[in-house]
Amino acid sequence: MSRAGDRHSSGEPRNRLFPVGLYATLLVGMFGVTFPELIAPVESVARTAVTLPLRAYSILFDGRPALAASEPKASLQGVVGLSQSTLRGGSGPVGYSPRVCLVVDRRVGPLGVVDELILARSRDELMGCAPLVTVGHGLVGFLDIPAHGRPGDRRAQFGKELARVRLLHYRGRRRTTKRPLRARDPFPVARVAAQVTCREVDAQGVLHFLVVPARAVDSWPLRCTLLDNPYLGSRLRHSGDMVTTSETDDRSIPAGLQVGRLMIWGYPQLNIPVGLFVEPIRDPRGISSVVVWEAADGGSVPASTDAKERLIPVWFSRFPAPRPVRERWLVTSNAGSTLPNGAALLDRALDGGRFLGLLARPWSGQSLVTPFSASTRIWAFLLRSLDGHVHELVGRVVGHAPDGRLRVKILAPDNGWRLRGELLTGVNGPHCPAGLAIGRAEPGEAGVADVATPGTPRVFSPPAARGELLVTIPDSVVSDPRIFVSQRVLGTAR
Amino acid sequence: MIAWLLWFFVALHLFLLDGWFAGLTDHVPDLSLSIALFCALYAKPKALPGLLLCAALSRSVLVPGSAALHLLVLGVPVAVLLPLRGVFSRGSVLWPCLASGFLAFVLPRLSGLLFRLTAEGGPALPMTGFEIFVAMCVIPVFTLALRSVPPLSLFQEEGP
Repeated sequence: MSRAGDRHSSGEPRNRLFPVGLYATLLVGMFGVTFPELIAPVESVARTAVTLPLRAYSILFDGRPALAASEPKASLQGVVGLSQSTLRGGSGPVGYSPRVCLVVDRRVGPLGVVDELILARSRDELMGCAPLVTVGHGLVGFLDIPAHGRPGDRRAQFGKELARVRLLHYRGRRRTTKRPLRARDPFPVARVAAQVTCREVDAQGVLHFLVVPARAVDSWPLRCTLLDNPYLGSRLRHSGDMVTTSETDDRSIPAGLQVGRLMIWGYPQLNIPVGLFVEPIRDPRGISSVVVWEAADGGSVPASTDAKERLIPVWFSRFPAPRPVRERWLVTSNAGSTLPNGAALLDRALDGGRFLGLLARPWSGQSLVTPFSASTRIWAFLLRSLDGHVHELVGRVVGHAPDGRLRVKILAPDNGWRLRGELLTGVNGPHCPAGLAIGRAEPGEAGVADVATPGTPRVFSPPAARGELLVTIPDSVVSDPRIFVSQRVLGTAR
Repeated sequence: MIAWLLWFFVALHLFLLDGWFAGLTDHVPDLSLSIALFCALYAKPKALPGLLLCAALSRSVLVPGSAALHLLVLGVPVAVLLPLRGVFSRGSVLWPCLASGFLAFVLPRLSGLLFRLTAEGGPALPMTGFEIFVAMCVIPVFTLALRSVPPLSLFQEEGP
């Protein structure tokens, strides 16, 4: 076996201590982190080669071909309940009727937060709908299509694309700001006339203002501007009051829709508010369906573009992995088909389908899956409570309780950790639909509220600390490898 | 060439072994630290890019995150420690222990930082003081074992 490497390195002390090759490699790494899509093909080929032993082990030892199965049924109940919850209590403009649209994906804006939702309907289908989009009592954003357009009156490709909802804190992308605004373009930034009822001892009344997207340095995505009574605003002492849309000449936005909760930022000990902000009533990372308002005269042209689910049979095998993951699964398409990135891996042997994890960066018909219980990402959940209501939650797996149950920290809404019921997936990408069963959830422990340093600005009367849900996942998912006999990957047919 | 082929396929098995250890006990430190320690203290400088690339690629198979991300997680601490070869003696017993402690402290934090910046990989799970102490004791021994056998023995810098 021959010696590898440099035979003359000892004679070049500078290159020995500061090797140019190493720094060039790190530059390549930085390039790869910044532009992952550019090096993805190379990485895909390299991964195919490096995982050849894993594939061989999978065939030799514990890999098993999956069997064909029927369409998943797990998502239906959850989605139906979600639609009912989305519609409940909603009100829209006069002459329009509500229509539930499922969300298929979300887009992160320039400020690093989700500010755009992609719906399961094309723009042509929603042409003629009112611009506003609601969820329950709340106003969440506006459609990115003209309010009074007709099908086919824009470029054909534009109309065929999936419709998008620009949330209230939507910020224009750089691409759109380079050219001047055209008459038919959707309005770039939402400005909503809103109001809040002041209930302070020394300040009572209704404060009117405009709600606009906040700046990058602000702690909340929406801020209040153009207060009609600045004195009243300066006397506010308590955060958390509900901000609602106010009566204006614009009849397309009815009064009374909830925008979010008022957050007062400043120096509470000195009774000096510095800024008024609004925390949206729903975390956009958790919104899985919305209500659009279509003209009651049936002007829009509905067509079925609901995502059709298909099951791809896969081979499945598991391998030990370093901490904190501890275990990773290799799934291989035994039909040679391409696996969609972000598809949900289901266990069909349990109750007609149980969610196990998401495929990450598939290559050459293979993919690795981090088990849901070891995942580190933020998830959109649905929780079907015992009374049948479906709640949208946002949370993250933070570990295991001593009794083995999974600890899921609920990030939104604040009181979401107090719920009890069946935990389901929300929409977590175009190939992970809402309503896949995860486990049974019960309230866990409340978190510890953040303690601010005296003298620093902070929110007046901060909301309660967030807590955790304890989720019971069937034991067999964790310990019995036989459940891996029948695995399916849920994809979306295009 | 044979050495490179060996390393290309053996690196993945080192991480599999690491995962197997992790399933047995919580007290065995991450084997990635051994690879980083070998690269920083003992590897031939011109072999570093290949060693790190193969290690990062294999690590990305079993730990969430792209190969580029793992290249930075493993490579940046190596780049920091490498110039100190001119200061410390290779025969020192204390130096590998200190370097192991540094790596055990830095690697999880660097991983967490990159997770915050790129949303790839996983959040930081910093080691406790006890875990760093265990790493300082165990990682030099692991590294000694690794550099005693091929393929890493073939990439070892010659000298005292």
